[in-house]
Amino acid sequence: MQYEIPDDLLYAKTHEWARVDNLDVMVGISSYAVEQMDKEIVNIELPAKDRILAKGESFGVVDSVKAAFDLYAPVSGVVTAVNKILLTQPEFVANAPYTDGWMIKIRMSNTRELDDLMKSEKYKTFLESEEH
Amino acid sequence: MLYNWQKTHEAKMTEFAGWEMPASYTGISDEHLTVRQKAGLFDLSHMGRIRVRGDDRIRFLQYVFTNDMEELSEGGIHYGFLCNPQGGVIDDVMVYNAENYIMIVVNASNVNKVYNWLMMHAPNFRIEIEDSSISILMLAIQGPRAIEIVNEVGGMDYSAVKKHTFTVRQIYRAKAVISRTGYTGEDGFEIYCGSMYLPALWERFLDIGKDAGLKPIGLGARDTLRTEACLPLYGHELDEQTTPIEAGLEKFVKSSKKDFIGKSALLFSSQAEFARRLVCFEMLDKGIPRPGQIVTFEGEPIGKVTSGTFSPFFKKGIGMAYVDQIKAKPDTPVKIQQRDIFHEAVIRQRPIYKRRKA
Repeated sequence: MQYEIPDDLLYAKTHEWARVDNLDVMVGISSYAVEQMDKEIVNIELPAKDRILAKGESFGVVDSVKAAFDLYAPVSGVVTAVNKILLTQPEFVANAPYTDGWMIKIRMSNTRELDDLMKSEKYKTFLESEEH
Repeated sequence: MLYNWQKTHEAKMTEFAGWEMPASYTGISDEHLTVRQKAGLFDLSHMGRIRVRGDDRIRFLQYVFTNDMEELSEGGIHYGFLCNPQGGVIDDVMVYNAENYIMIVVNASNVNKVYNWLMMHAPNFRIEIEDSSISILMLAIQGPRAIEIVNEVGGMDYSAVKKHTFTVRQIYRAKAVISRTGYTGEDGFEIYCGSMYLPALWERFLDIGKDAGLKPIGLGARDTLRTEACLPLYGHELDEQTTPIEAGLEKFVKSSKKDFIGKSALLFSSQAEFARRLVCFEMLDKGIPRPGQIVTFEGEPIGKVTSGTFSPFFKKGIGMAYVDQIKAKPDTPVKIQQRDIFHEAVIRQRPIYKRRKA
């Protein structure tokens, strides 16, 4: 199975992506994660602005029809923006996971944590190992 | 058995009870609404089909099965339970009374367990038990337009086959058992035929049914459909520690009939003696319930969710749960605990989805 995995993003093993702009990190989920949810996302719970997150901490939940999936912070920091449109239009995540489907922005507190995330090529290899 | 067809038609496959089965084709909600509005075709080959032959077959079923076989004429079907002596459910099954055999349709995950259970109780009866799960396969067609498609494929009018009865007929190239049964809350049929005929019959249905909107449906939508209709699923609402009475299915336990396994445990226990009761509920906020979550009433835990999903028909979270008997009344406000959040819900009359009669 081929997934769209943009080159300009970093990826977590839990399938969140991170778009890094200096200290600001935009976070969403990959097209692989969307596929695991049958491309059908019916509910999203996101954190409040100003919440402080530790790397790996659950910051929300995505529901498909059949199952719930936790969202994990790819880096530590404070939530500076939340894509509230998703609360009423969760389908944006499935339709455009890398653009309209972004979830939160984090002002990161420790840039070294980026080293733990995967570049696109490494993430693609990781997905192959996930599939079999 | 339809594996090749499904692989070439972009089905999302899943493993279930050792069978590789389609989870979804076009998406769970799309498939779900297709069944509610038009018609859907299900490959149910993974379910178990056990046949019992011999002079004592009725007497045997009277002993191992909770429903009353004396009330079941030829061509009739009873839903009911195989129970252990404690009244716990070994499996929930459909029993078909055919001309010279009885067919028991069992859950996929329970085929071996049920077969062994029946064999264990067989020695005192003149019967033969055969596991036909591989030689006979099964599909279901469900939805308001199912009957017209079955009529066209079968070349006759099947409306005389009433709910919970069956007929044995040639359909397309196969001799088949055709029953007015289902697991979706819709009208429809389940069709059993020799395994070699099933792939062609499957394709024939999709071909003939295309104009009526017939689509193949995966196991994902099968689960959301049965949850809306509040039909139990073994392993969720039923297991060996749960009685049919707690599950609210006492009408399929005939305590008036002679001895049967589990009778003494079930007979003298009126509903009130069981501490918990199965209820259905719907969410009042955006939360979507999941199995295992705790149900609370005024801050106190009163039970546990057994099935929970987003309802594609009602567009909200719905589910089933076992709760304390006293709190099991419709309109009771409850909360469903999801991590540290308590979502608002209300107990509803069963079922949540009931089709409008035509």
